[in-house]
Amino acid sequence: MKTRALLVLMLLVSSVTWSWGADDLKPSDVRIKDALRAVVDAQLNAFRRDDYAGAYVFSDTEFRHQCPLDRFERMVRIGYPAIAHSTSARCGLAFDNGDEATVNVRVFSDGREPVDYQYTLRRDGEIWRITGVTLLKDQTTEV
Amino acid sequence: MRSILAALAALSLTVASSLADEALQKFVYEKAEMGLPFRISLYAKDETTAKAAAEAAYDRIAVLNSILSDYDSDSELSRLSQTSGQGKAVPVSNDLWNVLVKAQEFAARSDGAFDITVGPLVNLWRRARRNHQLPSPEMIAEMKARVGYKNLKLDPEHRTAELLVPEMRLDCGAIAKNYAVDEAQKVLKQRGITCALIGGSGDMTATDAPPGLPGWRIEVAPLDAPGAPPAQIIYLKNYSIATSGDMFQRVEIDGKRYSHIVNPHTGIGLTDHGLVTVVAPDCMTANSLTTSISVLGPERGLKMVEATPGAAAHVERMPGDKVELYESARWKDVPKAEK
Repeated sequence: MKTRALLVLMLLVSSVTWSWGADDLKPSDVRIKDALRAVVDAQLNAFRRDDYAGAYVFSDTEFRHQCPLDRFERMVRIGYPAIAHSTSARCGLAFDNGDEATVNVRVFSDGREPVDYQYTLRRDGEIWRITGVTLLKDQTTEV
Repeated sequence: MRSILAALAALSLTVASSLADEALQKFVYEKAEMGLPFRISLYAKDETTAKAAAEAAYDRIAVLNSILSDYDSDSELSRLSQTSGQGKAVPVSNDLWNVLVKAQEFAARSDGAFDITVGPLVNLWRRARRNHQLPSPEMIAEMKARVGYKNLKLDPEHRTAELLVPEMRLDCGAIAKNYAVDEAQKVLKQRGITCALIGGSGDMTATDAPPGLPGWRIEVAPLDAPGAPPAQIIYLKNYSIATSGDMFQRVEIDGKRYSHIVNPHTGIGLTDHGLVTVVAPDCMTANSLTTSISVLGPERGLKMVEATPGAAAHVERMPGDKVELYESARWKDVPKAEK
């Protein structure tokens, strides 16, 4: 009887979790948002110091397995010049589900228009690590 | 003599109008709502008027977010999704009703290519984008079983909505955002702001043209493919524009590129590389058409556009290694500018 009740409970929990858990990112609370911002800021600071090895450690472990440091440096310098040469950044909307998160970041650099990116992060124990960065750009712009 | 007087009267009207135009200043505001930045450019006689109007518009968007958000589990939309499969016909607010009716109209017209019940599949592909891992065929099949616009039943007499299948999840993301853009523009008009451009994540609606211009100058980014035509600049006046494509929202897995747009019939993110631009009298219509064209393909999609009053579309796609261009008949009438 106990086993049956437990099974029912487990099924119920898994159904509820799945129902809202397929992509259950919710707006992040201040604590999580601060933690995400700290990681993004720390990596941008490392880029500003030209410390690519230092920036690399904020990347997700799986990403580091796939992308060695020299490739990472080339990728940032060529593909993400605003990030490589930023002067400051402002974090905007952040969403998470406890394990995964996204945060929008506006990156400022001297003499250029600010550029918006969406960072994706994954929790690794107590810290968040960056799994990807996507350019956020509208396909239409008022000119 | 009468004609000279008429000419003078016309001249004085023109002068008055241009003097009035000169007195108008441009103000630009940006605020994050519905999980994305909403930008309002407007012309007003002073900052106080402009700011009050923009704040009222943002207030309206915030209210709509509380109704239509699929991120907020307390939103009216989410609460409706939570009743799926329970046999409940749920009374809905006017705003949610307006969105659902429009969505179902386009779902029927596009034979389900545009479908707001696609939520379970969209979530699956959002996760795929984050994890760079394709969803399994079993998972796609499981999610597909929860999708289908015919499983969303609307009762116009009682203004109720019912989700017939368990675990359905409505995703009004784009159409809700564009409804908010349309509604925000109405708020500005009510406050006497007749020259404004409101954009939510690139989809825009404009009222009167800025002083001295034939319309709001909007640059549509080119398709990021070799041989694609350059960016276009179009003039937008009392009209709306929406785009859809995989340029900025996609995932590449095992060398194949998947768009954020999911085909509700196959459950798979679109793999055609393309860019669809639609202008239409309102932003909700423009958006519904871009998605429909993306899923249906240009031939069937453009037929839908031709059958939609006032709508025009331009499609660039690269199914292989060559860029293909398609345009609806009315696209040639859309005012364009040299860059």
